[in-house]
Amino acid sequence: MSSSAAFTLTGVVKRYPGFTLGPIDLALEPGTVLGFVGPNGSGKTTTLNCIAGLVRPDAGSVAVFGRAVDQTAPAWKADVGVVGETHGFYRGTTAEANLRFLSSFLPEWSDARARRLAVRLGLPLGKKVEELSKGQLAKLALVAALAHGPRLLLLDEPTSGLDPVVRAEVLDVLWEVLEDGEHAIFYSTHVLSDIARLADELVFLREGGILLRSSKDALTERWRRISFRLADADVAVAHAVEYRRVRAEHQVVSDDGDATLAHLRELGADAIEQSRMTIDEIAVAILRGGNHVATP
Amino acid sequence: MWRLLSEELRVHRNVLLIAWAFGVAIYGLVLFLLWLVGGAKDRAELPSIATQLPLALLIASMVACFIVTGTDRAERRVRMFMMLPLSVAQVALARVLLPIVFVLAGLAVSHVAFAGMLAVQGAPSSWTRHLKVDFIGLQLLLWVLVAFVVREIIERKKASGWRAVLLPKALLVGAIAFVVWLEVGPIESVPAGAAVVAALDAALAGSTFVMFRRRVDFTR
Repeated sequence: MSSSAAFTLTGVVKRYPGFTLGPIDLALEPGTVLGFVGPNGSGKTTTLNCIAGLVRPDAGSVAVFGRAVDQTAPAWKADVGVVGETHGFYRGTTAEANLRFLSSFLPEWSDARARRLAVRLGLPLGKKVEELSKGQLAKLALVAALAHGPRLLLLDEPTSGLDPVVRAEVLDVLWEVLEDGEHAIFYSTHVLSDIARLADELVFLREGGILLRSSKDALTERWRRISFRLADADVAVAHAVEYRRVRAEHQVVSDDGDATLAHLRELGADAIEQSRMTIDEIAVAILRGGNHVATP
Repeated sequence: MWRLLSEELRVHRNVLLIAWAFGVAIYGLVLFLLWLVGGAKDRAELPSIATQLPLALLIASMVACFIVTGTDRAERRVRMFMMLPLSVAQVALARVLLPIVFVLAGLAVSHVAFAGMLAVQGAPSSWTRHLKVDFIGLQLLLWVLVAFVVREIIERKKASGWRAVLLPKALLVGAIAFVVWLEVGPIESVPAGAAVVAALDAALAGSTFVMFRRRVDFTR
């Protein structure tokens, strides 16, 4: 892990009654989009809150661009933009007033950038926050997180509950943000379709532990759904994450398609058919597969 | 810290002004009803009752404090503040100073109103009578700060268990018991009473500040 990483989590542990996150070791390089994927309650939000300094870990350390995440020395926060499930906006005042409030604390804040983003997203700045729809609120959160030009963007389910049009608009803006190649984005979600387009790498989290970290391309290249015929009733197939037999046909989900195919040929299987899997399908298989996947 | 405090005051000042307006209106309505349906004795005492206007303004200030702190809590303001490049100490201080400034503003307005009422009535204005206004204002501030301490005790208990909150709980119960005792007890000196309540206010504010700084979760 380099000291210039957008963030580093080293041995981070956070305990709650009935749930423990970690130990988590994770780093994100600048210019990278990391999709953080896991079911509800897997620890995604807690991890993000640890990076944002909103939750203090029980053990381990967190650094942002080489500076310790420390609430007594808050300079590191200027490099971070956060879009969470809750925002803390003043609901009784306008969106513009909220942005003005934030701008007074952030030296790098650009009114021009905020206005450009607001226009780009069709955000009505003159409306009170309490009158904004859920989609508009998400847009306001995005404008607020981006207007000071942070190098690290932490997104926690930013498109949760949004209609497809608004979701596409938000993702388009994120895509534009990435164009300069300097921003790092940590995108926590359980909706894979959102990050299938954006993410360079995916980290899968379940029950507070990291199951797998892989590049998106490697996943879609290696993971296959393979069916074959074989006389044996049940067989142990190399790299099979899921196995099912329907009459004479065997079906497996493999985390290394080429290795599985080679093994099947050795076993004398015939009628072998393979198909690529979508990121959604792969995620489901990984999150179901649990520890098997954790030790590939 | 001052910027955060001044921004919070700017955003919430209307709440305070509206609360004062309501306080004065309700107080005026009470006086009007007394005049309308009260007996001769009530009417005779109206000028004296009118000098209690500062109490209405102070209660209005306290209500404004509860509205503002309740709104900030409901809207997860701490989360937003903690994402700003401010230290936890700066946020903690701004947070606890907000109700104090509200009540101090209420006290200032109350003193002006009290002096005005006494002047209209032709009664002598003395510092001891004004000190009673301070005494009442400081007691009302104490109840606002009690709410802050309770909030921090809840947060600390969630993070560290019940043993960690024994001291703040003891301080809280002690402060409340002391104020009740002041009301019914032997201290008749207003300056002494006001000084004791001011000390209790400072202790509660300090306790809130310390516990907020030790928080491990700023998402609520």
